[in-house]
Amino acid sequence: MIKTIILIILWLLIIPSLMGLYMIKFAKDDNKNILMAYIVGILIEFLVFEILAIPFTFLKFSFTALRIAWTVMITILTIISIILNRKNFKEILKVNIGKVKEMPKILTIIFLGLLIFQGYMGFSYMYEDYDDSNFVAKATIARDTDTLFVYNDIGYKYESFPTRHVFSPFPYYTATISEIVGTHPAITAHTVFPVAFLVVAYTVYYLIGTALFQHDRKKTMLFMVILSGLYIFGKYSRYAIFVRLLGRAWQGKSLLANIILPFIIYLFLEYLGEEKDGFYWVLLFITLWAADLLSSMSIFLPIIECTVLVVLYTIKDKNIKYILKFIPCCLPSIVYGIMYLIIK
Amino acid sequence: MFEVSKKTVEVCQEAFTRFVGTGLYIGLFLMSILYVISFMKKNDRKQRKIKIIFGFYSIIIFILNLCPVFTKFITTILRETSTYWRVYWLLPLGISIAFMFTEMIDHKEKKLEKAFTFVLIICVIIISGTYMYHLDKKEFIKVGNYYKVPDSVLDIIEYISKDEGDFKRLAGSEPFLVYTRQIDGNIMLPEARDVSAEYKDWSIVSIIKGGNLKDICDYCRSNSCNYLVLGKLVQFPDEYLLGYDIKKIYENDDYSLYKFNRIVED
Repeated sequence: MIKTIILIILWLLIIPSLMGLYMIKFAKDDNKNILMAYIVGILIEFLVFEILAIPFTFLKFSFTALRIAWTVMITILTIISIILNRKNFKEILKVNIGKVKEMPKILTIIFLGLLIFQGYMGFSYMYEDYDDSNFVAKATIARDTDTLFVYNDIGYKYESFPTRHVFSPFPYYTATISEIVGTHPAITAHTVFPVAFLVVAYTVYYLIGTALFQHDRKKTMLFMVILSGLYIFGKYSRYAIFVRLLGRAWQGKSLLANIILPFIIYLFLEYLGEEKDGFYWVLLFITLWAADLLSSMSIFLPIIECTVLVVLYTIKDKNIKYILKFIPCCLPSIVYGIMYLIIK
Repeated sequence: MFEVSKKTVEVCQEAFTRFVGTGLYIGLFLMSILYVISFMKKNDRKQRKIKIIFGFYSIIIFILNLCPVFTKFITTILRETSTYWRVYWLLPLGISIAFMFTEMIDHKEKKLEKAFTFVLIICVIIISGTYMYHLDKKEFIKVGNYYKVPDSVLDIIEYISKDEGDFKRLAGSEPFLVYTRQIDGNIMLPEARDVSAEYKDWSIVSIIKGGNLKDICDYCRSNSCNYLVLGKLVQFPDEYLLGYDIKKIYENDDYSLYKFNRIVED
């Protein structure tokens, strides 16, 4: 049990943060922001998995091959990041501990209390969702049969390629994490991910708060407390994003709604359209490609979001450069979208 | 290609209904759009961006989602209509409302006024929303395992997993159709899920509910199901089972597990 907890913290918190630190070296203002590094690291985990999973599926490789390849890639990227940042860790720790000391105590305690409550509920309670007969079952099937998209949800071989899911193999990410940390995929999905991705989502919202309020910590934490309240009372419709995060955080589409789409908002709010924003367009490229892992909707929804924002920014600044920078960012999703339509 | 039919309009309306829910949160969201458009200053770069993202972007997405031509475009690409409503996830609902409320509190000058406004806003959120974790609504359910599967269902699945034999196909009611392959990918099921149909409409579920052992056994034989799970409401005495070449091998408080003696893999 202790070993499992340590591995979970390692693979879902420490390794993404370390990996992300390498990428954010190129960020002009955020090169020591551990929270930004964490989110970027999670996106890189998703991206590497997406890049590997699709050719591995078409080439009919085993699930073990995919798991090992991904683990090796992530380990290499983490080691590279540690080596390249080895002289900066002290400074990075000092900066981030300094930020923590400046946090408003009462609001931070209230927010952490609400976060712990939401995490406790996600960890302790079952939220019944019949979609898991597909998503979680796929993770278990991959582990038990060591195959990728060979057997369908009832155990027969697929008669035709399940195009809706092949380009968004998030269940296999679930299965991979399960094997690494030593739990069953259903446990990873229903007990580990509700806590882990709750933390990821609120980290994104915290970054958005810092962008909205120009790093005013008091206003940012007040924003976080209010947002938590909106989530806890957000069951006005079972289709709302609030229910998705607190009730079904292990499903790729929930992460699309509560992590990817807000993170794109953050990029546009804080960085895109500013001077020397080249790195952030690269980050947008990474985000859009990583999002494709999560759900078939991820191939389309983030593109729609970005397209409307890019058009608005183009009108705002009367500058066509945003469109020229945006087009390459969507290329992977466009390729998957075309393949999705052709194969289907 | 993008002609709008009556079905498309229905899809569009259904999506909107799902998005709106009880309506009060959406009211707050619309208020927040008006707020940023009215109060964010043009000459401040950050506030202009906030106006664009939480004002104009939100309005454009709202209008697009309500437009049947856009509905037709999206559903044509997706080649299905059942998930169109997810386009409403493009709206930054929570962020927008939280931003408006934060600004409202911050604009108060005195600490007491800020505290009072904060309490008022929390009351508005509680009244407008619906508490997520109503335990009596049986959506968040406490179970005794980390798989987050009903305990009695898990017990049966684990028994089958440990049972001898490589070929295992289970016929059972709804919970088993949902949870079996989440726990053990080697146990097969007789029917594939059609997302447009409820589980209660599957033939296995209605046959079991019918309670006729001959029909149930015929179904199992024709679908090569060598395991059968029945709830305690559908029970058969052991002597009755003899004629059907099936025996009870396990039971818990909620279910009985039966095994057919001579069903083999198809």
